[in-house]
Amino acid sequence: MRETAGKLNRGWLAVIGIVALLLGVVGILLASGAASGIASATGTGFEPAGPGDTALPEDFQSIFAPPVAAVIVSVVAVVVGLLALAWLLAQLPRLHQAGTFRLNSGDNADGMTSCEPDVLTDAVEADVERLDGVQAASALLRGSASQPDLTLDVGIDPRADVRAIIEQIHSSVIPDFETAVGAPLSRNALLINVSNRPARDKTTVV
Amino acid sequence: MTASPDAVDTGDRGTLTISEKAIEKIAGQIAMETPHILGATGGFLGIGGHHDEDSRPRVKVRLHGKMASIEVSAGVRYPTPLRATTENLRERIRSGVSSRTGVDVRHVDIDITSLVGGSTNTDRRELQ
Repeated sequence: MRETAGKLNRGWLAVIGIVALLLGVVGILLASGAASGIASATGTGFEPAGPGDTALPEDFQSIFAPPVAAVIVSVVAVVVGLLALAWLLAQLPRLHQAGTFRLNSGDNADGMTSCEPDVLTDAVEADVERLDGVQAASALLRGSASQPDLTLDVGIDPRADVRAIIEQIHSSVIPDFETAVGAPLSRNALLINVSNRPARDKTTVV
Repeated sequence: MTASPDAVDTGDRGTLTISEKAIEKIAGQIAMETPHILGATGGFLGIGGHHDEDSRPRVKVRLHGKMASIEVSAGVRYPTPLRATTENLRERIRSGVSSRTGVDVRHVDIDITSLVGGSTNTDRRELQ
């Protein structure tokens, strides 16, 4: 039910992959001597290092000689470090639960109606737990009051009729929720967990 | 038309003071009488209470002269349409408090604190 940074990871891994690929191609061209041929054929006027030369110019270290170079390198290192830390923190799975639902039918001049998502999920969980064969339910609400997104994690008895439970959830639990909120679900996800221990009820109503 | 000898000038009748608490109780009573609206009862420091239709929802009133802003914290029967139910509650409180006290109710903010289904006891199952 928690969301991970999949899209962010894919984006940055693609960027890193492209940079590494370009560096690798440049390295192969320099090491094989093909870079000089390409440079002379295209007429860029740039003379790349040959296979026997050093890849960097002789006086490359002199770039770092001025005192300001150390400051610039330090700032760049700190920025890269902070980006890396942010990426690391983005890996923590998050619920991304919805904020307070505003359920106003008109403008806000007459007052506001608010409902915390926990209140709604508690009602949905109670609704699911009333179904035969359901041992426990956990609901997570994302989105907004106009476009709610509901994720349900339902623990059921091993002897329960899974198909009937899913059908009841779709035919009564979700419509009840949509009636209450007054908006159709933009997305709903249902996760069924089958327990290995049968439930035992202490009471029953005939 | 002559004035009756018993008539007293309106300026000499005295004053009628209505406290915030009185308006809170009036608004709470109106809320309690509104269909599908539940009040909280029992519990200690907000723990262990439950909602039912025989309790007044919690109401807080802020008076500004002859105008009032009202905040209501109430439970709602699930699954009733929340927008329509709370709009009905808002209109009832506005008109009810205004007609009974003469105070102009400008804002009624409603916080839904619980949604109570038909049967709150999940330990019970109905045989079909």
